[in-house]
Amino acid sequence: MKLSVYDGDQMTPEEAFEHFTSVLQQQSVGELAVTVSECESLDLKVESDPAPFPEHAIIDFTGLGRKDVESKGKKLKSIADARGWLLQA
Amino acid sequence: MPETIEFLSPRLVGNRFDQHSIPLEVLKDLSALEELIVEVAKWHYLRANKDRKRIPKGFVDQVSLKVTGIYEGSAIPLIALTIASAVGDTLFPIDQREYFEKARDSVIAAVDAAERNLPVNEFLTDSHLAYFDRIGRSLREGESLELNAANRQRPARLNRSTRKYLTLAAASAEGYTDEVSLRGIVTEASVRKNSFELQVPGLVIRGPISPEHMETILDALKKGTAGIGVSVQGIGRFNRKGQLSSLESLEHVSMLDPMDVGARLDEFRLLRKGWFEGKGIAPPASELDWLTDAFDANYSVALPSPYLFPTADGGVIAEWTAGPWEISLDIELPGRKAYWHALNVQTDDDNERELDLRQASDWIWLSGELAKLLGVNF
Repeated sequence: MKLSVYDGDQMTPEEAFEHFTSVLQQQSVGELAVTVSECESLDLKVESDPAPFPEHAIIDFTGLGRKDVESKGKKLKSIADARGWLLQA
Repeated sequence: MPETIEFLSPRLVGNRFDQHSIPLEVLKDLSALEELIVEVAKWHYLRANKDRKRIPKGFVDQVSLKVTGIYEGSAIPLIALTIASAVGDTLFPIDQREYFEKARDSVIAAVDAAERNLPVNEFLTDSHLAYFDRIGRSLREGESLELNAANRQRPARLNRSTRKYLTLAAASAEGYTDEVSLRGIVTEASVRKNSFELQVPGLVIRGPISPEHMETILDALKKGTAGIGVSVQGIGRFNRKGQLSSLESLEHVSMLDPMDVGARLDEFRLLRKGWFEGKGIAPPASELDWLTDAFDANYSVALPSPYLFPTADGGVIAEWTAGPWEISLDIELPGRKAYWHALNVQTDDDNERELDLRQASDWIWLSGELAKLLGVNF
C-alpha cells in the first residue's frame, strides 16, 4: 500500500494545489504535510515516483500488517494536524 | 331502525401491526378506502339502472362504513356497513347494500388482479384507480393490507408494489405519490408563494410550505449557506419511472446536526464506478440505506457523530479524534463487517477488533468503547 504525495522540494503548496485541481481535475479542501524524517521515524520509506508526473512521491506502507498500517497512518495524521494546514481552499 | 352488517375485515400484516394495534396513519388509508367504495357503489348503481342519470338522494348519506372493533390476535379492523332507514319523500327505497357489496367485491378483484400482474381495468375505472394513490400510502416495505384475508390462496394483498401497479394502471396517471424522508439544503424559500427548494444530492426538489413550517424553512435557508441541512418528511410526487419530481406536502421539518450521518452518507450516493483515480467502487445505494438505518437505530445521540469517508473498495470509514485518541472504523459494504482501530498517539497504546455490524451486541460494544475514549457519559 502506497500513499501518493507531492514533493515539497519541487513544488510549493500553491503549485501543488493548482496541479491537483486543474491538471488532475480533482477536488481539494486543502493541504497537510509531513517531512521525510517524520516518515522515517516511523520506519516508513519515502521515494520519488516520477512516473505519473515529476513532482510525485510515495510514502510506502508495503509489507505492513493492517494494525501497523492503521497505527502509522494515524501517527502521520497527528503529526500533520499538529503542523496545521499549509493551504485551505 | 338503522341496519348494521359486517362488511369487510381487512388484515394488516407487518411488524408494526403484530401487537394487535393499528397506527393512526393507517386509518387515513381506511378512510380513503371508504371513499373509493362509495364511488364504486355509485358506479354500480348507474350501470344497473341505465335509465337513471343521477344517484338517488340519500344513496350515500344514509350509508356509512365504521370500524366497530379489532379482532384479537392480529390487526384486523372490523368494518361494518350501516344503513339508516329510508327517510324523506321517496316511495321506492333502495337497497344500497347490494351496490356497496358489489363495490367491495370490485375493489377486492382489482387488488387480486394487480397481485397477479393481470389487467385491472375490467373491475375499476381510471378515476377509481386514482384512489389507490392514497390507499395504502402509509404501508411500509414488507407490510400489506389483505382485503380478502379469509381466502388464504388469494387474499388480495395491497402492498407498496400492488398499490403502484393499480395507481399506474389508470391510462391518465402521470405518476404516483409516496411518503418520503429527505435530507438536503434549503436553497430558496418564498414567503409570497409559500414554496421552497430543497437541494438533495443530484436533485433539486420544489415543495409547498405550510404556515407551521415557515419559520423553520426560513431559518434553514439562512443556515444552508453554511452547509447546514434539514430533514424533511412529507408526500413526494414520483413520475411513472419512479423518479421523485416534487414534494406535494410537508409534514415534518427539522434542522440537521452539521455532522448528520444520513446527510453525509447521502453524498456518497453520487459516487460512480471509477470515482477514485479510475478504480474506485461506488457503495451500493441499498448498503448506504442499511448503514443509515443502522446508525439511526444503534448509535447513541450522546456520542459525537463521526467523520465519514468513502473507501476505494466501496466501503465507508468512520473516524473520531479526541485528545490523544485517533479512532477509526473501516466498514465493509456489502458484508457489513467492520475493523475497529484506536491509537493513543502519545503513548502508542492501541487496540483493534473485528466487528459484525449486523449484531446489536457489537454496536453496544462500539458505543461503550467510544464513550470511554471520547469521555462521554450516558
